[in-house]
Amino acid sequence: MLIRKLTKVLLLISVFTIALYGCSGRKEDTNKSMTPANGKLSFTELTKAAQSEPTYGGSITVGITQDLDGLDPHKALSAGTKEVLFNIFEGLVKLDYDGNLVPAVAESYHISEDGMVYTFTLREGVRFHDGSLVTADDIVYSIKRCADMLTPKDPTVIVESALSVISDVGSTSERTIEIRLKQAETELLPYLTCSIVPKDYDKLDTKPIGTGPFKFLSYTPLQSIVLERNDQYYMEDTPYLDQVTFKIFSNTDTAFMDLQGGNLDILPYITDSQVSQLPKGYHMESGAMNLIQGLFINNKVEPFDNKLVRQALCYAVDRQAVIDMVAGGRGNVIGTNMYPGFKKYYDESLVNVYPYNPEKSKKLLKEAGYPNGFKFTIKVPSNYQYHIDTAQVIVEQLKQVGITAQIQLIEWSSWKSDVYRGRNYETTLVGLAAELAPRQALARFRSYADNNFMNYINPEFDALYKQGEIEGVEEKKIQLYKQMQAMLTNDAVAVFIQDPYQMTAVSDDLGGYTYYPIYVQDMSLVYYYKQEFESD
Amino acid sequence: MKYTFKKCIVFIISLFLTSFLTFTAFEVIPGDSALSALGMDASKEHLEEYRKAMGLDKSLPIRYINWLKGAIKGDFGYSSSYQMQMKVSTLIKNRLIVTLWLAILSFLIIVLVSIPLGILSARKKNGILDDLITLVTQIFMSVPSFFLAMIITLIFGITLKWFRPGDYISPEDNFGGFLRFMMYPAIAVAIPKIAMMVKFLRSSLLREMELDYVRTAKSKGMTKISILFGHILKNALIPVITFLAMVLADILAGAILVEQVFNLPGLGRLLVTSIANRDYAVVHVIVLYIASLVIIINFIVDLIYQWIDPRVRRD
Repeated sequence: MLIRKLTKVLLLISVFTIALYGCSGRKEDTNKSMTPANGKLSFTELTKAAQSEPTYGGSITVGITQDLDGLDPHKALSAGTKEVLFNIFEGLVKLDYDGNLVPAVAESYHISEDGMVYTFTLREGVRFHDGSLVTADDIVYSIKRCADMLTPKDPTVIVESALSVISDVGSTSERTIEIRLKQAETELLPYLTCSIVPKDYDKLDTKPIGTGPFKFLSYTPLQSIVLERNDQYYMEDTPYLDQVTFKIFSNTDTAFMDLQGGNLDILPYITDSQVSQLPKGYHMESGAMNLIQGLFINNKVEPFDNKLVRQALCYAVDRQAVIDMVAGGRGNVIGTNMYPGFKKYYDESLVNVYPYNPEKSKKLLKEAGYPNGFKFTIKVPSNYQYHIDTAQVIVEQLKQVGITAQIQLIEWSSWKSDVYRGRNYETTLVGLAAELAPRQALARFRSYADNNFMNYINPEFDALYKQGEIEGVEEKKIQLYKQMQAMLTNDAVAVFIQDPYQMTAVSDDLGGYTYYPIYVQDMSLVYYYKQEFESD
Repeated sequence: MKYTFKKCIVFIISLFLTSFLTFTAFEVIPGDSALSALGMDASKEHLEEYRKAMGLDKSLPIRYINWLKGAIKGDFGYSSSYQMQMKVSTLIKNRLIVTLWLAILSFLIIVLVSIPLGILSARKKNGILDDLITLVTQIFMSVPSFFLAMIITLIFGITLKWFRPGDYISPEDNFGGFLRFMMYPAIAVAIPKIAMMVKFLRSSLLREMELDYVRTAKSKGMTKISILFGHILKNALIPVITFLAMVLADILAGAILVEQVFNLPGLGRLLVTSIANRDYAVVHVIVLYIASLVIIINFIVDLIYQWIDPRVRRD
């Protein structure tokens, strides 16, 4: 009897040892890879790499964690899809990594002084991936398609509302296109990045053809999309790579496992904890995400219709502490609703308007008639762990001033219809992703805007915005934009928290991975280092 | 004959009910498919236009009848998460292959491993081997398969490098490689089910062994083995088959979490993303598929019962 009990115990122990082996094995792995792959070594490798020349050829695999929602660039909606299609399609102009607009399919452009007519000259010899030349007709067709000016209409095309100011598009010669507007608009150019596609080509959904640095090769839903080098690309020195495969994963964890197995060369959007687990042969690159993360407030509901309460909330949140806790310090504190990537327009001084000051917060609450604080809920989309973590830190911080906040998780689809469109919420914690034009960040605060989900109503702001729309002089425009930003901060429309960093795991053999102010995975700049780098 | 006919009627009515319930379910849960397709900043006019074009502006009964008309002809419409560019049937057909293979492999593993183990455990009742089997099954029964999937990936994928984690190989490219890769998720799915099966089979066998006919057979001078295989097993299998049928339906409906861990492009993953995107057309078909699967498998089980146990036939 005793022997049997003993064997039972022994068996139990051995089974648990086997089960626990998994966990311990992982920890060892992490420790081993911590030293060589991160920190100083990867930095020296990088500087060394900068000296070595890029080479042509080779193929890479990039991990993405979202399936594409279509291959037609005018129908694709998700940022994850646009990120990939950026490699296949181009507009008349194109955004570069500094946020400047550079000529792409157009060679040059001219904006009339009154801001009513945009004239573009086509670049000579630009070809679609099927070999045909890009004509003025293709461009007129593409812009009309984006602007919803074609008949019959295709309801699945995502209409770019900023293009609705266009009254007419036409070609004046074989190589010039004229865009006439209904009213003056000086900030239309960013939207003319809209993809140029062949006229009346009906297979964009299955076999997309563009003018970009890479050609479409194949796509299998939930598995992968493969691109191949466009040999006829008008920029002669790019792209470097022969083939790029975007492999689709169901989530970052499985993608990271694949990276650990050595099957991926680049994996964007890795988490803070994954950075510390990077295997040997990879390094982390990071850049600002250009996301406005904030605790967005419904300015119409009690008690937030009182400006003092909103300001009290701003003083009660220690934003730097949030960044330290949630992202290990990787993020920049922001003070207003403008993407920091648009450096000219972004007013950095507004960061200091609401320093962390719980005493002041309590005083303001007292003044507003809430000496004992109050209760409210924060709605957070359940699929964004990052925002959930942030909300948790904020809930703790608000306790210090006597405010009780409760987190309510909400499914993303419901968030879109109930919170964003329905405006049925008290506060919500999300990130607003960067748009193409800086003014777009301010547009949602117009009293009458459809997407003014914070219910901010300020006629002064509306007036400034109208002025900004027609202001042609850059300096004055910047000043107007900064005035509007300051207005938002002083009115405390929301608790603006941070612009988080995005982190990407990149193979040590690769160089040229570049961050953009919008969501883009530009593969045309990525290259393999020369081999002698290895022998070092 | 009458029996089969009756079953068929029940089958059709159940399908109708399920399809109607899934249809209404989407009325109840929040979220808007037009908004999902056009983006949260889409203007009201465009949303209206989209709803009109997709027939979403019509009332529920009319939409249901329209859908039904198509469904009877085998046309289930287009998937809205792929901007209406992909037919629901093609989308599901390709996922189904993955899920089917996963089900076949794991089902084979379950049957091949659990039946011998169950018999062994019952025959050596209370011996060391039985204790060992009971203990191990007890542990594996309580481990969810997605966790096993992670452990398997860690041990065989990352440490031993027997396969490349997350590197799914499609059967068209390399069928051998596909099968080799599918073995690991199949094992992850199979292990907890094996544990349950063994426990079930063991107790079922032991129950039968106590019965009078076994004693009679023994007194007639039959050997233990021939009693076991000739009499006991057949009787003990009846409840086990019900259980197996449940298991089969369960795996065929898509191992959602295991598919996530191994990055398999299977039905479970499609279902999850489709619900998140409010892709009604796809969800309807998957739910219908699962419902018909359960009904059909139960039907087959009924037939098997009749074949094994003549008593059922007479009822």
